[in-house]
Amino acid sequence: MKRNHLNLSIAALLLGLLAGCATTTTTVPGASSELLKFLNIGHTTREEVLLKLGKPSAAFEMEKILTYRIGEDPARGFHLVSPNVNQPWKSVRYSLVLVFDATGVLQRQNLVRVR
Amino acid sequence: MISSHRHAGWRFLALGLAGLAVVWLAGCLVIPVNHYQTGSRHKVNAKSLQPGVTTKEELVLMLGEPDFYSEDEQRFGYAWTKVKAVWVVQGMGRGESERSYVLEASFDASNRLSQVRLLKNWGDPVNPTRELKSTP
Repeated sequence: MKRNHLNLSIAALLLGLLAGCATTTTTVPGASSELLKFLNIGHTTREEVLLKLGKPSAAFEMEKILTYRIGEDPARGFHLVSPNVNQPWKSVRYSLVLVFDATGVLQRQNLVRVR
Repeated sequence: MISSHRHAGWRFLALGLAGLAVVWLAGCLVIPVNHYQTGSRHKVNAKSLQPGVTTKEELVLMLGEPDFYSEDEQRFGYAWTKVKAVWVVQGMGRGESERSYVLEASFDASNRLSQVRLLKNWGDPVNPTRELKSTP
């Protein structure tokens, strides 16, 4: 009888401890593993990129280089992160760097892990 | 047999209490660590950057969008923070000692790297050169 009480108490204690460790997962709307699949070196144009991904987070050398901030939802894939003045890099995991040639066609790209 | 187990238990408890007493009496415990602060940029590797050779395009492809850049885009800054020690002070709680870094890259008129310097600061984040503006 005493042993049963002890077992119950231990089980209750474990439950209490495990409840403290519970994690919740939230899915990010718009996240998709297909988000960056359209990028094709030598084919994709700057116009297509701007139409699909919107305004870049930064542009250098007269828009030859465009960068986008990308987050990652473990379940659904990549998503765009809009620059936020107060927390500029919140939720950002990667920096997508796209380099175009003089005719506006994608020449080089890299998804840099930054955070 | 039971007696020897009891002795071992008491010895273990006594050692634990003695350890706690040392920490308590010392009043402060500093644990040296070396990890990136949560949310900080990490893995900024400046070793492959070569002034006169590396271009702006190559730098951005390598390190991603900079944290800071000047209006004329001739200076980029990449910032990160590392936690170097965790401290616990009796009655005051715990805290962390941080070291902030900024890798500042300057470019010439042909967009080639002209200078690289690493700024470091304990405590508050490094204040990059005034001309550098923060993104976005």
